[in-house]
Amino acid sequence: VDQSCAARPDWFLKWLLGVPATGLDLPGRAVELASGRRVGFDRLLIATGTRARPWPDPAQAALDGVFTVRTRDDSARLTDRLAARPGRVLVIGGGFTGSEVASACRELGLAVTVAERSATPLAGALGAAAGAVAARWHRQHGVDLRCNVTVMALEGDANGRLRRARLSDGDTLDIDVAVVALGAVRNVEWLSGAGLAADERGVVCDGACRAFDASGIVTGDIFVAGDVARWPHPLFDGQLLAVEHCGNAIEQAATAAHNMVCAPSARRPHKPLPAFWSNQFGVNIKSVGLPAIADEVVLTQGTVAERRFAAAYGQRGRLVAAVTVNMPRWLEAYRALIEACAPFPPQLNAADGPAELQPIPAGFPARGQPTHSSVAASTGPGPSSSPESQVPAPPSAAPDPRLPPSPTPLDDHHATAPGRVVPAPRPAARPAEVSAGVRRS
Amino acid sequence: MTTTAGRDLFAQVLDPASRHDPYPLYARLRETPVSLQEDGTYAVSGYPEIAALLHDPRVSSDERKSSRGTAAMSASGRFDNPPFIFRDPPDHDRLRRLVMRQFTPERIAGMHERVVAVVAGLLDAHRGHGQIDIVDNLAYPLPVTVICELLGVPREDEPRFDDWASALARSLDPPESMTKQEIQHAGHARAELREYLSGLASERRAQPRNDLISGLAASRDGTGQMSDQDLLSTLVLLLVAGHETTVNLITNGMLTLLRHPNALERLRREPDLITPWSRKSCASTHRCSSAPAQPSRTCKPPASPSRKRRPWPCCRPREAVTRVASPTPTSSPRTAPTTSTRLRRRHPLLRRRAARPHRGTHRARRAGPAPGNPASARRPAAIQGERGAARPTPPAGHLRPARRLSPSRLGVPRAGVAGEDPHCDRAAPSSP
Repeated sequence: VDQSCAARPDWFLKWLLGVPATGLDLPGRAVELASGRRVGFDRLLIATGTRARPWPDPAQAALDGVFTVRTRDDSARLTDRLAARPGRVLVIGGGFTGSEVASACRELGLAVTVAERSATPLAGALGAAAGAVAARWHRQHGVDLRCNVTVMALEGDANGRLRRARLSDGDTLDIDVAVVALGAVRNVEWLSGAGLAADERGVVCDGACRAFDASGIVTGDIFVAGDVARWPHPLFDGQLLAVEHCGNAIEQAATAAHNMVCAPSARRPHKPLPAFWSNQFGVNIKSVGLPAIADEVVLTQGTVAERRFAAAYGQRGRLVAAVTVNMPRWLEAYRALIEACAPFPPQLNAADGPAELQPIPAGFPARGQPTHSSVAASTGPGPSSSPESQVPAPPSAAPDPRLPPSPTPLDDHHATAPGRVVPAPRPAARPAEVSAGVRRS
Repeated sequence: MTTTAGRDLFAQVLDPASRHDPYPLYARLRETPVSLQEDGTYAVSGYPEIAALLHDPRVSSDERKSSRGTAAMSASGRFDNPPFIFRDPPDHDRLRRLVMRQFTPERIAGMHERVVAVVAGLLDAHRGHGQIDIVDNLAYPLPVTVICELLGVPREDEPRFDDWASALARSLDPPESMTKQEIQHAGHARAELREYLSGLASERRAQPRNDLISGLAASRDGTGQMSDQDLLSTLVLLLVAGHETTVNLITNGMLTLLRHPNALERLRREPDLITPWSRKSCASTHRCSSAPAQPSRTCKPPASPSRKRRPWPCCRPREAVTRVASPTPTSSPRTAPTTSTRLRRRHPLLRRRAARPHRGTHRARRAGPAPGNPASARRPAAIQGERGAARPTPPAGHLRPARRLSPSRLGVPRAGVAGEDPHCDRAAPSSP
């Protein structure tokens, strides 16, 4: 609890801590609490966020040594366990959380195996082409990375301590710790049947953070912010975005708060470009835009071999995202280009760029949510579109059917590299185009 | 956004006649942060615009890729092994890393006492005189002493390299503003300075000391990443930079205070306005400079004729525009630890001064461009006469010329200089 808020009696804050909301009475404009109490409202903000997706088998998930990482307490518990120098650590899921945990384990000198259902780590966030590069980092740092592999079962001893994991490739691993990094689940169950446009993808709201009801009518008094929100971004054809990053949550909270109390004519839109960063295996990864909707990716600066590069993501000939590795300096320029709907591949003529731009398939799962968080994802159009099947599947030996098992890696320019070559740069003829990159922030 | 108005503004900034009070011109430049100039270049004067350009991979710092002033710069030898501030990544980053590695917190912190002692010594030497020549007796000897000791250049060689350094600093100005002799002179100076430093470098390689030349020479050996030529370019850069920018910074800072007696008085009353030097502030200074520090950026050679006619934004010279436009000037190793750097960076009054449009702005706008330019209208006769004389044209960046201010002209001791100071120009250059 933020004590600084609690210490402001003049704000007339009333905390109801430890009491979950269990339902929303939309016609009665009241929230129902687990205590049986009803709290009426003039304005409501839904900011219930997400929780770590648990291991699907509750008995196995309860074994001592099985962790998820979501909250500060989760991290503290895991840190304590890792400090006790366990035997092998199994990380289930090679997304950002899984990769960062694996990286931390290697820094501690612990043996670690990463089991990833897709062809590469980070496939959901950065695509399989960039993920193939991340796979090299894993292996160079001594991670036992197993792609196209599912964990079938976690097994404990008589004392309920985790001992083994059985993998879909037939292997059995002796492990002391398993970190379940399978992405996040949105906390929307309490809204079930309430009549809001809410499902497991989140609560749909408009650009002003106002929630939609189930029939697609925007409510004027219910607002949504943070990881649980889905909202249309003007830059991405009104596709509903769900962004799991604190930067977005903070900004969206400010916008929602403003819109909750301002005059109707003064409402602000929430339309920042999604952005995130991650430090792992000694590299700093930063991204801006929406990589997950891209169909192609191209190396634009630096070299993959030196672990300093920038890559641009395009969707149908338009720049939609950029990722830098150990090169954050240039990201703002890409942001400006994305906001200007610049063409893809972007002709930058960067001094440290390749002689020829060679876009290759970005390698994102075709549709639907990836197995683990992609940080920023398009979650489909319109408030009342139906979700794809989200039934939690039991562990299966089948690899991720949405990705080819061995994607083309994003790589430095080689004469024989696959992918289409974009030959002569299109001249940026008019100075007006130049000024597109020069903007007041 | 560009406009046809004020298309000679930047040329006016370069005009030595504008030097004594360039602020109205800067204010007008900032009204159109990106403005197309008559010669086809763009003058970029707004902080966010400059920051955006500095972080734009489409823009280059390598003057060899510019189509502008190529012949002149080639003649002055500037294209041979340019220092890292005129290079692009990855070379820029690699060389800069090697240099920055030398500016350890320990080394910087270790200089503190010595810098304080040098300043005290310089001031003490004039105690009781009632006046001091800020340039000759403080602003010049201080940074030169510091950079010499830092690099490990014998202070007694100063007369030798002073002329070289001045000629080289001059060659940073736009080539259009230089005479043929100046360009040649700069070329010679470059060659001689390199030779001189090359001698020092081989000495230090044989017998290392605790100085930058030894450190850089060793880091070259240790990593195999800095070639002999790059080492010399870096040393030239550090030496010239130590000569140039800080001198002007101290002097112009003092001049600004003298022009604003209230600010000076407040500073005397509240010396805490000068942020105490600390290791922390030093570290943050270094972090600030992780961006490429050179504001002059050019573009790759045009790929099409249309690009050739309309080059991409290119702003030169660097200092005139960007230094005033940025609220926090990009720092560099050479300026990190001095008091006056912090003064300029931190002093709220100074900063406000830089940001506030000059009173002359509105008049200037009403009067229209060039002919009615108040700067030229106010130009003192003496300076006009000087301009006509057959001597090297003073350099363009207004912050630079303070080098040879004479004490009486500055009027330091008695009455503070109020308003525009007509004498803030370089007197005839004399060899030291």
